[in-house]
Amino acid sequence: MSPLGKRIFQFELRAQLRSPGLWAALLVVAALLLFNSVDSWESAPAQLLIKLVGGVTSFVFLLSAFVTLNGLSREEREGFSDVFYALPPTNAAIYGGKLAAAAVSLSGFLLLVLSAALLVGPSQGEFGLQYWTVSGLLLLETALAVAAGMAVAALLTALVTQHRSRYVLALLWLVGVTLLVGLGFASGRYEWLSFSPLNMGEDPYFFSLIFGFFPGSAGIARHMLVQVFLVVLLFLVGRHRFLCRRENVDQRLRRLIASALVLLVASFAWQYAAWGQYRATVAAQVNYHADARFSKADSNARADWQSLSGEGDLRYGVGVAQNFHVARYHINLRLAHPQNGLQAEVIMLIEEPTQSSLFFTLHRTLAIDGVAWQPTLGESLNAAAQSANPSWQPIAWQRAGDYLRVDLPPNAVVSPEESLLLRITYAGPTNDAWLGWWGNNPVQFVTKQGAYLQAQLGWYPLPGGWRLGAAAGVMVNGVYKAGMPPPQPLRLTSPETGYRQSEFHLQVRTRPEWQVIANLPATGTIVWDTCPSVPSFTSS
Amino acid sequence: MHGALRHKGRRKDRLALTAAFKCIFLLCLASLRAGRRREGLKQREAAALAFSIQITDLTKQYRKGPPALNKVNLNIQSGMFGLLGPNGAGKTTLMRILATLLQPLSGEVYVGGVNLADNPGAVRAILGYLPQDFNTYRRLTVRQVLDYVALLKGLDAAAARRQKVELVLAQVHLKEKRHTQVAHLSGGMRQRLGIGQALLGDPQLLIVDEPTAGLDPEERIRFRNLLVEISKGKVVLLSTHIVGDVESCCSRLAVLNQGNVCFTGSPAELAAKARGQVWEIAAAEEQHTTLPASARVIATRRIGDTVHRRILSPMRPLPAALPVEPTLEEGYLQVVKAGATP
Repeated sequence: MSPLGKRIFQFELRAQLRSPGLWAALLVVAALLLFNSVDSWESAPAQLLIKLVGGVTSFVFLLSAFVTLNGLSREEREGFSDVFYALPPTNAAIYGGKLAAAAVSLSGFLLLVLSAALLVGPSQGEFGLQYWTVSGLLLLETALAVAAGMAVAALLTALVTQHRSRYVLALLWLVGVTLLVGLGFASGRYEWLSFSPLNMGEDPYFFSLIFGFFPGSAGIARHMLVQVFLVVLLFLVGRHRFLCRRENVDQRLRRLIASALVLLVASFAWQYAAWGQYRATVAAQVNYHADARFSKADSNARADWQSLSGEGDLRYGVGVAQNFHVARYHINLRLAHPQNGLQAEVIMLIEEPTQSSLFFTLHRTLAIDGVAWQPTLGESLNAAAQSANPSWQPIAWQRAGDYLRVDLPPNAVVSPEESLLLRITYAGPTNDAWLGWWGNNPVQFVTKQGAYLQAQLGWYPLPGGWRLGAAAGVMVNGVYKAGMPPPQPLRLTSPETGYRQSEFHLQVRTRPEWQVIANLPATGTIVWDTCPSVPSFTSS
Repeated sequence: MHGALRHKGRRKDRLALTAAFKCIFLLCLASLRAGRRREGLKQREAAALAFSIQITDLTKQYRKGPPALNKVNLNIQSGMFGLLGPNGAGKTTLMRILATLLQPLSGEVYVGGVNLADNPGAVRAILGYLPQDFNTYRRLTVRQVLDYVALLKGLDAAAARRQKVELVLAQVHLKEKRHTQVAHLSGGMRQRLGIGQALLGDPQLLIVDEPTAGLDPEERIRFRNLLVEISKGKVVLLSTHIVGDVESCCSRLAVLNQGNVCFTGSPAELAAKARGQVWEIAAAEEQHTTLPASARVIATRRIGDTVHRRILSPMRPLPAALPVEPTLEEGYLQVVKAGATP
């Protein structure tokens, strides 16, 4: 930097540090981090950190643009620009100094992210490689968001003469990018995400980092490349426009712009090709259930939260007492039915049901057909026999979102030594379900390759109230990658849920060529029974 | 013993000889340096004397409307040069081009022999500029603003910078306000601050656009004197609506109208443009006088019950009208009205 550039840098840095705007921006980001942490504190450290930082990227982008605009348009705002630009410093010194000062003052965002990383992991005893990889990537993500905000600010400064309009346009830029990302999600065009500042809290990247799904670290790297070239291009175009207004533009700058444009197109094409391959194979949905509708799912989900006045906070599903133990599950599962994505009959051997209300967690998109019970009277569970047993008695149940309350009749509450059988039949979509304004079901788990029964879906009734997709205890899953070896039921590492382990008998009926992968607890017996053809399945 | 004494004596001689050589060498060096300094001074003085601005066929056109400057040719020598013209004449455009803030459509400008288009940086290094509506960082104090501008003008040494800032503060009478925030200055004080920042760095070219607007009469006179004082060996380009400012300060001036130079010359020459066309009529207040369409009342003053009117007219407007010696303002009005060419 030239000596005059250094003086401008020092002056600007002092002005930025004195500006209430910068401190307000840092405060907003710190508050968002804090808010996200309160919201997701029960998540595992790496996931928590992604949620903390991923959620603030857009704000970091916008606030960086605002802080940079504040510095770049200081003289215009103060009515000093004519005198300032007639002073000896060159444009390079002026804008170099101002942008450098903005970069230094915006590094406060990076410090906040670093502090979060140093606080979250170590405080929960997490020192694994995955955690620190995630932390490093999140720092890079924040730096890219800052750079993108600065680039947009520089471009707008060069293009727009009215300095107040620049702030509005920066905001509109963010709105536009957010819309593009939304459209990308809605249409499955995940490559469009590359034009937005990287947000690792977004589904494909979040699942990549935590579970190793596609696009993996390569996809994240490709996104970062697109962003880097986009940022460089915005800066160069801004410089070009600025020089067009004040000085002559040399051919070198034009060549640089052309190079950046070529690199941007190439990096985006790379990302596009990768996602295209993914769409054609891994994520390709099975056509015949794509338009399935589930009226029961709607009616099930319509119950009022308040009507389920159980213990704990049902709105978040955490802390509801698990007042019974499921000793054994017998799950009869059918996947990719022509109408319903998933149909299941689950018979549970429930021990110690000391209270009349039993709480379960079952994903909201899975609509319940019915709940019935019968006493075991000391007999062993034989699901095939029990399924046809006419002594099943329907019982009352209520649904609220992911939570199910089953109200046992008075004579069903037995002593701690005894047990009962509970049968729940349900069906639901297996892909991309709309979850209201909170977003879509993140994983299309029935694809051309196979079915992935993961804990986020709560595809079988979990005893007690759990926050699906967030709680460390039920979130832990296996890894599903394209080109994986034949179906393997994956075992969980032991979650700290306070569960006693259950025994599982799982019968999966599906297409023979599919891979079917499921999350199930570490202990228990799994009978893996993939049928050669899809049989008809009837639930009572 | 004897040998030792003789050896000591020789050593003394050698030392004396060396000292003498050293003295001669230092004297020569000092005289050489003094010569060079004198030469440098002479060169600088000569350069200062020769410092001028040549403007050739300068044209500037904005996207909409007629040309703001239309093939303007001016030769501005060191000293104070006034720019007069009605609103929209192109004065500010010309000044902004000279201040490297605008690019002309065509034409050439040489400032002190430097082509403005090729080397705007060199021009900025010798420039002091005060725009029409001066404002600056509101939250900074007067001294902080001047200090920052001085830094950007290359006054690196803290002591020298402080000294220069203090000098300028004294020149523009803002010493007592040095610790006041700009936001708390009155319009006139802010204008003085603008003048102060333009004076920093001893600019060879000082461009001042409407500098006395907003100043009280005392400050205006003081400022005129200051401009005259600093204009020795420099070009001070003064644009103003106040003809009195130009009259009292500038040895030469130009009149711009609709992007064209209507006149260049001295104030006396401009005033002479209206010679034979300025008339005075003295009449009682209640006496109604009808003037011909070509006549225009320029000034009216009352003495007792009589009203004296100065009228600009190519011919005697009334039989009672007497020819009078024109003022600069009347010359200016005549030139603008006639669209005269130099």
